[in-house]
Amino acid sequence: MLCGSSAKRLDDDFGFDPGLTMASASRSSQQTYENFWKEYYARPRSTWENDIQKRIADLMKLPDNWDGYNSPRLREDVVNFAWTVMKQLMHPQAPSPQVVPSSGGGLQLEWHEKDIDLEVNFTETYRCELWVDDHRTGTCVTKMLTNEFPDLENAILLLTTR
Amino acid sequence: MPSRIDDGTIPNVAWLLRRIHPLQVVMDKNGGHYRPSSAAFKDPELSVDAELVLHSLGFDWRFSIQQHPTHSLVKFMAKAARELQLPVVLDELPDNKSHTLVLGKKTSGKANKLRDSSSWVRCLPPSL
Repeated sequence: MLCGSSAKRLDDDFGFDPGLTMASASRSSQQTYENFWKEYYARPRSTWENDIQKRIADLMKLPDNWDGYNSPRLREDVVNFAWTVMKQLMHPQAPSPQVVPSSGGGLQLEWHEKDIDLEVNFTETYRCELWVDDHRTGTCVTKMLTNEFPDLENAILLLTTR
Repeated sequence: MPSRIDDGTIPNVAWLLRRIHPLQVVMDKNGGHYRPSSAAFKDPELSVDAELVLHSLGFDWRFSIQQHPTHSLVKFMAKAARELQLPVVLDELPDNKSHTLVLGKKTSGKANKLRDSSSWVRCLPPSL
C-alpha cells in the first residue's frame, strides 16, 4: 500500500525529507532564528537617533526666555550628557521619544504609548529623573539617576518589546 | 521682594492659568490626544495667572496669551498645588496684577500630578 510504503521510508531513510517532519521544521526554525538576528542588527540605523538629533539641533537654537517665563536656554553639557546616555541605552528598535525643553532649564525625553508613560528629565550632567507609569500593571516609579541607569534601560526595553 | 509665604490670598478654588509653549505640547498615544508635557510644570518658581484676579480687573484667560498667540493654555486649581505641599503666592508684576507663583521643587511625580489636575483652556496642536 502506498500509505505503508511511505511510512517505512520515513523510518528508514534519514535523508528523506517530505517537508513535513519535525526534524525539518526544527532545522528551518533555527535557521530562521539566526537569520532573524542577523537581519535585525544589519538593518539601517534606527530612526530615533535621527529624530532626537534633529530635534535637539532645533532646541539648541532656543534663546533665553524661550517660553516667555524666563526659562534659560538649553545647556550644551546637559544635552551632550543626555545624548550619551540615550545612545548607550536605546535599543535599535526603540520608538522615538518626544523631546521637550523643560521650564526652568533641562531636557526631557518622553514616551506615551503601549500603556506606558515614560519620562526622563535631564537637569544637570550626571543627574536625571526617571518617571515611569505602567497602566497595565499599575506601577508608578520615580527615581533620581546619576551614573547608573538600569532602571531607565529596563523601562526602554519594556517599551520596545511590549 | 514679595512675601514667599502662602497666606491664602489665592483661595483653594481659584483657577491658575499656565501657558504651554508649542514645544511642550506632546502627543499622548495612549489616550489619542495632545497633552501638556510635565516639563512645563517643573519650574521651582512656576509662574501662573490667578483667574479670579483677572476677572476682578475685567479680563479673562485671553489676557494670559495676548503676548503669546501661539501658546496653548491650561488651568488648574490652587488646591491641586497645595495638596502637593507647593505654596501658592500672589506675586503682582507692574504689568500683571494676577501674576502668581507656585513655589517649590517639582519632582516628576509632582509635575505629573499638576499636569493631571490641569485641563485645556486652549490647545493648539504643535506644528509638525
